[in-house]
Formats: sequence, C-alpha cells, structure tokens
Amino acid sequence: MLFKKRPGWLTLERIKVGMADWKLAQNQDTLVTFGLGSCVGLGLLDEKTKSAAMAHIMLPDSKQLRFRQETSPAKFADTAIMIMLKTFEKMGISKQRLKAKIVGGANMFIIARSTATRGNFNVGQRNVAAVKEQLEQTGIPLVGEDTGGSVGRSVEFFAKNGIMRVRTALAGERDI
Amino acid sequence: MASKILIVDDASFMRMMLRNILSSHGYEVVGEAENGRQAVEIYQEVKPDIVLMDLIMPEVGGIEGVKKIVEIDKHAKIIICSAMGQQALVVEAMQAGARDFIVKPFQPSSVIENIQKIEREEE
Amino acid sequence: MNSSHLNDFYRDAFQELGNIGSGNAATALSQLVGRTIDMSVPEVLLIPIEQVPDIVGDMEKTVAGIYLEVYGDVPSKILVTFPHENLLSLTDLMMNQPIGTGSMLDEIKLSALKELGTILSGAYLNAMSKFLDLRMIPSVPALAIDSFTAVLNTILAELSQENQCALLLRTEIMETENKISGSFFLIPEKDALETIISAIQKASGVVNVGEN
Repeated sequence: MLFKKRPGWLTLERIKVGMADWKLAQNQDTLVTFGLGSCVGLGLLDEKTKSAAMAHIMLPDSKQLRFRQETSPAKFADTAIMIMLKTFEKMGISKQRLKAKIVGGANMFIIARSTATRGNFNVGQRNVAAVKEQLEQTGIPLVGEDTGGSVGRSVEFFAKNGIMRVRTALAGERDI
Repeated sequence: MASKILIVDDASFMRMMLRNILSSHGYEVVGEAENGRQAVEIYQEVKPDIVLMDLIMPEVGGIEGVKKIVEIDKHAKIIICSAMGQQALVVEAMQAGARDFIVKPFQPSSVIENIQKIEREEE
Repeated sequence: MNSSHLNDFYRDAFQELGNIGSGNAATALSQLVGRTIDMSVPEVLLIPIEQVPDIVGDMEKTVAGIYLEVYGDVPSKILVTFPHENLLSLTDLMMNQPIGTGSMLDEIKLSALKELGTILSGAYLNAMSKFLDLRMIPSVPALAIDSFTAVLNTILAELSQENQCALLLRTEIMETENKISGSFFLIPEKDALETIISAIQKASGVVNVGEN
C-alpha cells in the first residue's frame, strides 16, 4: 500500500526520508530529509494528483560500485529515478506529468593535497551531474534547484504545491 | 644576537602561536610560509638562522621542504614542529637533514629550549 | 566485512584501542587548552551505513566538524565535532585568553579549530599505531561549520563507495569547567578493519596469527 489511510484531510503528516531512502506523499503531507551534504535530495511532483516523491541519493552510479552490496535503490542516482518512475507508473502517473527539483550536492570538505595525502571530496558535484543526466534521459523537466556550494541543507517538500523549503544551519532558509 | 627565524606551518593559528612565543623571547621572525615550496623560496630570500617546519602541509609537505632547503644550504638549521603521531615522518625528516623536533601541543618553554640548543651547537 | 556482527572479543579489543587513543588525545587536548579534559569510554558501532545517522545523529545541531583522512596501514576517516555554541570558548582557551574574549569566528579561530583536529588525531593515532605496530598518517584537516547530520552524511557517502557497513569508534570529549563538549569518531575503511583485527590478534597473542 502506498499511502496510509487517514481519517481527515486536515491531518498533516511529515514523512521522514532517511539516507539512501525514498518516500511518497500526497495532498497535505510533506516529505522531509535532513543533512544533505554531498547527498542530493531529488523531488518529483505530479501537480494534478498532488503526489510527490523524494529520494535522498548518496552516490552517482550503481554500476560504478567497487563491491557488491544489497542496498536500497534510492542510494544511487540512476536506480533512484528508476524506482520512483516505476512507482508513479503503477499509480497511473506517466513520467510526462512529472516535474523535478533537486537540492544538495555540496562540497562540504575540501582536503588540500599534501605530499602525504590522496584524493578530495567531489561526490557532491558528481551526484548533481548524475541526477541531471538521469532527468535529461527520462525527459523530466528540472524546475527548481539549489545545489553545490559548501553548505549542508535540509529539505521539506510540499506535495500540495511542489514547494521545496531548503534550510541551512547558518545561512537561513529559502523556497524553491 | 637573537636568531632570525622562519616559521613554516599551514595553520595560521600555529604561526601566530609560534610568532608570539618567539617575539616575546626576543627572537626575530623574518618570514612565514604555508608549505614546503614557499619555505624554500622564503629561505633563499631571507636567509634565516633557524627554520621551524611543520610536516603535513598542502601541496608541498615538510619533508620535501627540508630536502630542498638542505640541498641549497647544507648548514641549514631546521627544527621539525609537528603533531604527535608522525614519528615515521619525523624520522624521515631527520634523515633528510632536520636537526631536531618539537611535538605539538608544546609548552612555549620547550620551543625556546630547542632553539637555544640549536644555537649552542652553532658555537 | 559485510555483516553487522562483531564478536565480543573484537568489540572489546576495539574499545580498548579507542581507550588507548582517546587517553592520549585527552592529554594532548588538556595541554593545548590548559584545562582538565575527560574522555568517555569509547563506543564501538558496526552498522550499515544508512542507519548511522539515526543512531548517532543529533539531527539539526550545528557543529564545527573537523575532518581528516588517515593513510598508511589503516586507511580511515576521522571526524571531530564541537557544538557551535562552544566554539568561541574553545578557541579562547586555545589562544590562552579569558573565556568571552572572542566575539566572532575569524580566520585565526577557524585555523585554530583545524589545528585542534590535527592535534587530537595525531595523539589518538600515535597511541593506537604504537599499540598495533602499524603506520597511520593523518592528512591535513578540513573544516565545515554546519549541521551535524550534513557533516556526517558527507563522510558516510564517501565511505559508502567502498563499504556497506561502517565501524565507528566514538569517544565523547568533556571539559567541565566551561561545559565544553565534543565527539571524536574514528572510522576505519573496509580493508583497514582486517588489518586492525590481525594486528590486535598479534598484540594480544591470540591464536592463528602465524609465527612471531
């Protein structure tokens, strides 16, 4: 079952989306996810049915993993979109009706190279690029974005109107 | 005469600490560098008597810095000034020509003692 | 190691390792700030990465997160966090000035926080690498002042490229006089885990370790 039955339409629920997780919400309900650093929050919305889905994506590509693992499809950009679209389809919502917003993909830590060290953090940038590529491939328009930079973000995604409220620790909040 | 000192550390906080300790004991800080490459450049420019050298720094680290400075001036007096837990690197730096080392966190007095020891060796 | 099971022997051994490391780190920190520092008995967690935020998370709390990578025999990640409201007191202590002197986090104070990470990690790794007879070299530190979860999640994302579970050694840092607290996390990567386990076996004389 995709949605919990609730007694009255006034009941409002904030549905938490954990790391590498994805959830659906409808009408008055909202989807929230905390602490997007390099991770990307991808929100998809069908305005007609006021149906929203949000994934908390950790990595760009399930095929690039260097080891086998059993894990949630929402962990990777490619498989997250796939599972979300499949679910919308089952609900009778074709991908032509969907719009997307993305948040996150920050570069929180830059480790300067030294003689003793190797790499740096660019997962955030790669995550954003991968999600955008997936959106392009599936033809879903990207209608809002707050990505990159070096700040962490928390997001509340409103199913009723598709607004994403982006909160930061020290730099205030904004709607996209 | 008080020795002229070059401070090499990527952390501006550490440079400030060392500068304060040194100048309050009458030493002249003649230059500050943030990595091994800058250290070599400034060394050639200001010809300090003593270099205080951190080990783990961005771009060019302290070991490389020691090697290059010793190449230019085999009498260079370099004291390694690094956080605990870097023994392997300290050994490498000493082999490369550093004279002594100070472990962070340090007491101001131990910095001065180390410098005085190097100064005595000179005589 | 893909199972979240860690037998009691290794749990105790990791805890002892954490004790050795954090004892030394506490000493280094108290020298640095000129105050008595206590560190808690380390907590050892081996859990799927996705579950880490729910278990150690203090969701929206703003912290300074100092991040270092460890190279050598035991590739690991280190995260040191201090609550935002403690940062000025902490840097006042480091700069040897009365609490309340600093009013904003300027460049020198940010540098001091990074150096704090370097010194704590150095002391922690020093004790640990001596005990295990392994080489552990920290990178230069990186700093983010942000929500604890965003800081942690970023490190977990990096870790999840090669690991399914995270082994976390968490120690709490406490300075009672000024109510400063912090957390120290050591997160060994997958291959490091095997290395540590065989080094523990060697150090503790457990069977099946080959000749000495």
